[in-house]
Amino acid sequence: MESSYALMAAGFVNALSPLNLLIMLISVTIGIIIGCMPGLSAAMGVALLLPLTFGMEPSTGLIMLGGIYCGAIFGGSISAILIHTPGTPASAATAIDGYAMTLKGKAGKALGTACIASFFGGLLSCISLYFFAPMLAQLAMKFGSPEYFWLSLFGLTIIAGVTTDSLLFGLMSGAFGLVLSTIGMDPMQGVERFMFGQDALYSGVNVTCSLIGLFSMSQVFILAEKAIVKRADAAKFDDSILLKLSELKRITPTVIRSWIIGNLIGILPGAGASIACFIGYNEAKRFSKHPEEFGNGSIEGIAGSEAANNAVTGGSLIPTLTLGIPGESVTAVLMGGLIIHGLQPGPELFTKYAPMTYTFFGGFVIIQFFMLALGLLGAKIFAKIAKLSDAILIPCIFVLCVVGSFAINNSFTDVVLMFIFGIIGYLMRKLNLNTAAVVLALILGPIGEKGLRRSLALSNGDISILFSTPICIGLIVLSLLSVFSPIMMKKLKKS
Amino acid sequence: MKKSELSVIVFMLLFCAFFFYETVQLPVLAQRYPLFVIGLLAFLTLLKFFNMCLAYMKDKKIIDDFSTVWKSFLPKQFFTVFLGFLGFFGLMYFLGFYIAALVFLLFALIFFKIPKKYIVLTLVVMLVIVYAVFTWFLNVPLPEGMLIENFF
Repeated sequence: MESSYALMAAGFVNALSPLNLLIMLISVTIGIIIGCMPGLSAAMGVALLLPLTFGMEPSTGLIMLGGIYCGAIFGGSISAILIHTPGTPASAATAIDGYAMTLKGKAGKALGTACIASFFGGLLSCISLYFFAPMLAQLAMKFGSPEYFWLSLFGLTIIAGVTTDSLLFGLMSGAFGLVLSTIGMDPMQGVERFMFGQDALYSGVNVTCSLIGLFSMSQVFILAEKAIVKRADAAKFDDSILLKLSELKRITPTVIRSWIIGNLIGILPGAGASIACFIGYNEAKRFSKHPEEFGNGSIEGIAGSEAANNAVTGGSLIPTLTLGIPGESVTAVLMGGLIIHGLQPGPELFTKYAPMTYTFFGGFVIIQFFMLALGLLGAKIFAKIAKLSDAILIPCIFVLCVVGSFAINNSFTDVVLMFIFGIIGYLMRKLNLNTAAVVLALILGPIGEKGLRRSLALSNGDISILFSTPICIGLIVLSLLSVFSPIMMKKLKKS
Repeated sequence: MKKSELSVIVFMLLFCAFFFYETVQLPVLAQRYPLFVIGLLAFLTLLKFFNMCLAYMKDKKIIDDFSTVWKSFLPKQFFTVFLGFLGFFGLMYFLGFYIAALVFLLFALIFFKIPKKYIVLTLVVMLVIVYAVFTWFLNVPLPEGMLIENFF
C-alpha cells in the first residue's frame, strides 16, 4: 500500500513536468474545440491526433489523448448551450436546460454550471480510477490463455451489443473485424494469411490506420455527402460565468449523485457518456426540490448531465487499462494508443509500467483543472470556433488523416489502408453497422487468437481447458449476459 | 425486410465466401482459426437473414429504404470531393506532400465557395501546423514527390 502511495506521489510529480503541462494545455484546448463542433466526435479527435503521440514518452502521449478525451466531452456542452446543438452525443441532455437558460439571457451561468459540474465529475472519477484500477488489475493477474480468449470475446459482445440498434448487426460487425484481424502472419504456424503480396500487412492490419480511417476519414465522407449548412450564430452573453455560493450548494448533491452514476456507467463496459448524461439528468430531476424548472432552464439539470458524462471518463478507463475492455469507442481508440506505444493493458501496467501508469493518472487529475480554467476563461472564444464551417473542416481533416497515417511508418501503403478503412467505415455507418466493434475486434482479435490457440496447444487440442477455471465460467456467463441483456431489456420494456 | 439490410447480408456472405476460398489454400493447421471466425461471421449473418425472413413472413413487405439511407447524399458534391482525394494522392506521389496539400486545399475551399480571406487563413494555418508538428517536431520525412526527387 505504501508503495502505491509513493507511486501516486511520483506520478503526480512527473505529470507536473513543464512538457506534460504544456501538452495538457494544448490537448484540452484541442479537445474542447473538437467537442464544441457539432459533427466531430471525441473518438474522431483522439484517432486523428493519435500519430502526434508517436514521438512522445508513453505517459505524455496518454496524457495528450486523455486531455483530448476530457476536453471533447466537456466541449460538447458549449455548443449545446449556445447554439442548441450538442457538440457530442454526451451533451444531448445538457442542451435541454442549457439552451433554455440561454434564451433567458443566462448563457454565462449555464456555461459556468456545465464547467464546474464537468470539473467535479471528472475529478471525482479519478478517485475510482486510482483505487479500483489496481484492484481489477490484481484479478487480471490470475488470467491465463483460456481467460484471455474469453475476455476478448466478452469485450466484443459487450461493445457490439450495446452500441448499435440491432444486436445482430453489432455482433456481425465484431465478427467482420475478427476476420480482418486474421490478416497477416499466422502467430503459431508462421504462414502468410490473406496478405495478397503486401509486405506491409506482415504484422496484420495497422490498428492506427484503421482507427483513423474508421473514425476520422469516415466522418469526412459523412460531412462531404451532405449539403453544407451554415451553423447558427452562438448566442452572445454578458452575464457572469461564475456561480454564487448558494448555487454551488444547490448543485452539490446533484454533482455527487451524477458522479456515482457516471462512474458506474463508465466502469460498465458498453455504456458510455451519451447514456450517462440522460441518466444523470433524469436522476437530478427526480431528486430536485424544483422539478418544475427542468426543461425551462435548471442549473441542476445541466449539472446532472455534465457531471455524469465527465464522470464516465475516469470510470471507463478502469476496464480499458486493467482488462483491455474499452467501454466505448473513445476508450477503444485510447487503448489503440496504448498498444501503439508497445504497452498491453493488464496487470503489467500496474507493476512493470506502474510509474508510467501513475504519471498518466496524475496527468488525468491535472487535466480536469485545465478543463475548468479553459472552460471558464475561453467559453466565448470556443463558441466562435464552433461556427467553423464543415466546408473548411472537410479538406483540413482529410489532410490531417493523410499526414497522420503516413507518419506511422512513413509509408504510402498506410495512407491507402486508412483510406480503404475510411470507405468501409462510411458504408458501415450508413448501413447502421458498428465501427467501434470492428476496431475492438482488430485490437482484441490477436489477443483472443493467441489465447485460444495457446490453450489448445497446452491441452493437446482438448477444448475443456476453455471451461476449466471459475474465471472462464464467469467470463462466459458475462458474455452471454451481454448478448442477451439487450433482448431481455426490450422484452421487459414491452411488458 | 429492408433492402439496406439485405445488401449487408449479401456483402457479408460474399466476404465470407472470399475469405473461405483464401483460407482453404492455407496449410491445414493454419486454417482452423480463420475458419472459426469466418464460420462465426457466416452464422451471425445467416441468423440475421433468418430473422429478416421471419419479419417478412409477418409483413410480406420488402421496404426500399435506400432513399432514407441516402436521403442527404449529394452525388455531385460527394464525388467531386472524392475525386479531389484521389487527385491529392496522385499529386502527393508525383509532386510531394506540401504541393499536393496546397493544391488540394485550394481546390476544395474554392469548390465550397469559401471567402478568399478564409482560404488564405486556412492554407497558412494548415501548412504551418503540419510543418511544425510533423516535419519539425516528429521529424516525419513527408513525401517529396517522385518528380521533385528526380529533378532536384
